[in-house]
Amino acid sequence: MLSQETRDKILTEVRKYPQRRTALLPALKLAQVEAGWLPPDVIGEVAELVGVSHASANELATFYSMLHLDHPVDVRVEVCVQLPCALRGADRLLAQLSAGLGMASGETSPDGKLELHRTHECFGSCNRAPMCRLNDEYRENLTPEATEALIEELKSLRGNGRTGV
Amino acid sequence: MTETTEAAPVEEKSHRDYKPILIPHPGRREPVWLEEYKSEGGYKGWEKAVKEMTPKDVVEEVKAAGLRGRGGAGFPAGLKWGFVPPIPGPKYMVCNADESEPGTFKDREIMEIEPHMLVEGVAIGSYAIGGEDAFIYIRGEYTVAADRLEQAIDEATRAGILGENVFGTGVNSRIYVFRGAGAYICGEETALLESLEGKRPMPRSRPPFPAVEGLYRRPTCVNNAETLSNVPHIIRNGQEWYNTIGVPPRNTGPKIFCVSGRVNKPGNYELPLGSLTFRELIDEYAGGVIDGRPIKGVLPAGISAPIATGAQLDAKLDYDSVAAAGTMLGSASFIVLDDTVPITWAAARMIEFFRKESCGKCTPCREGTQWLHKTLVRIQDGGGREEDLDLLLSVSSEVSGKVLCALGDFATSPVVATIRNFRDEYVDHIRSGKSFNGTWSPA
Repeated sequence: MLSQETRDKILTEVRKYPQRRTALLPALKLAQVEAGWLPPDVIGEVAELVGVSHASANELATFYSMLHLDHPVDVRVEVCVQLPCALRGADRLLAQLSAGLGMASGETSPDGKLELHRTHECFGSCNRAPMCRLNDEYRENLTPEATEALIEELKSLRGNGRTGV
Repeated sequence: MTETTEAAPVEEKSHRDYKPILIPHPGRREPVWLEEYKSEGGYKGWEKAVKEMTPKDVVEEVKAAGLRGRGGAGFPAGLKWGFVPPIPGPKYMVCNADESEPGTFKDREIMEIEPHMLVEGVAIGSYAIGGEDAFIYIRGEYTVAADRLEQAIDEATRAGILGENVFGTGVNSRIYVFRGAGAYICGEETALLESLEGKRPMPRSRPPFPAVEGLYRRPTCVNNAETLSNVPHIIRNGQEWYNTIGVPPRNTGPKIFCVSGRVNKPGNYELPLGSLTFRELIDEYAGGVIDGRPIKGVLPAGISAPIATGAQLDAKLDYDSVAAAGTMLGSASFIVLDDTVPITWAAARMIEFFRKESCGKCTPCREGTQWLHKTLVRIQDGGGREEDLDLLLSVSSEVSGKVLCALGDFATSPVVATIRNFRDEYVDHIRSGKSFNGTWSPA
């Protein structure tokens, strides 16, 4: 069950647009902020708040890459390897992160705090490539030296149990 | 700072004399908020439009300015606005700020640094088509830009510039920032409208076109963020002034060129259309190719248009000259490849994008992109066969032109054009059996 605060935020979205169904995607994102991911019961609750079928909400939850149907981790590291980044060393960046963190792309750290992802998607940082995202935060111009510093930072997040970035 | 209401007209059309208007503060990272924006002439165009011009006047002014769509298709913006029928009831202006094409980062810079400029352009466009509610559809990853746009809208609303009864004229103009959630297909205008309606974002069959039946089945106009950012300048300074920039009538105005890849200074460079060539842009603005290597090719419209090579790189950068050279200016997102970049690896990397971003609605694209990717990976990693090249071309011909949206056409161009231009390299690679193991990094 979502908190009253999140339910209120969702209902504000529902009233905001010319038609209520427009609020479905913003509502799913709000629910995900609270729950960390979108388990089936949360998707259903959002559908009912917005006033659409569960199937309609599932159609969105299963489509968008920023909606997560799996368990949350504190920090999701997404490395862009699309061509503009790759031409400036994105494959090196991914290999360096992978070696430094001891995780292959697609893996979750044993403590469940960190995930490393190779993504084909371009995030619009091609002028400051290569880059990655830590949750919503952009980290750009990741030279080998800057990558080393990032690895240390990520290791310390794992060590002290900080949540979020 | 002195007040600038009129930019100097471009005399000899030299790109060197041009002063940028869309990104007038190069290198800046902090946004221009309302007070500063107004001190630079901001919202004068919007005020002029609602106080002195009818919506039809605005449409005519933008038509006469010759502004073409900056998102890729290059369709005249004023003409598009003119297609919206003057019927009673809601009509919607939708700004496409879903910028997801690999190599494209121009709208991000406009929105992060000049949020008010885009907001003003959206307001004017919405007024021009007779709308009161407008949307800025921004990709979900651009959280900084989206926050700034929302803040700009709040600022302008508090100042009586947006919202109800703007400037006391009785005109209403509400703008919503709508954040996507990670899907390249949402940059396609009908998929974008589906997304806005809370549906799974898959392209619609056309006709009807959005101008007739768009958002909520109402007349709708979808324009790219850079396109709309030109509009305040056109209205404030007049179309005659705008026609002094670029090569009128078909290639008028400034264009932001995004340069990325193997250059020393990747970045956004705003210059008049048709004022310089690919090579001049790369050498004079983007700092030249890294280590002075020769250019192997330039992808001119992100990864969605045929790679330009050789003499094509001497084409002037405008819609018609680049098309005449056999490719497309598109969004003018130039990804530069030097001679060290293996083309088989680059092609596999590009087609991976389309395979994963195909929405799955049309069978040729859903299945074709998958087979193109599998075949290119096979070549990249040493298991290719010479007949794979004809197989790739054959599959491409079954996708291109046989699907509902342009994504299918885009997906085949990295394949077809790289084979056409670099067939020998493909064959050499296949014969050598060399494997990249999926990766390549510059030396």
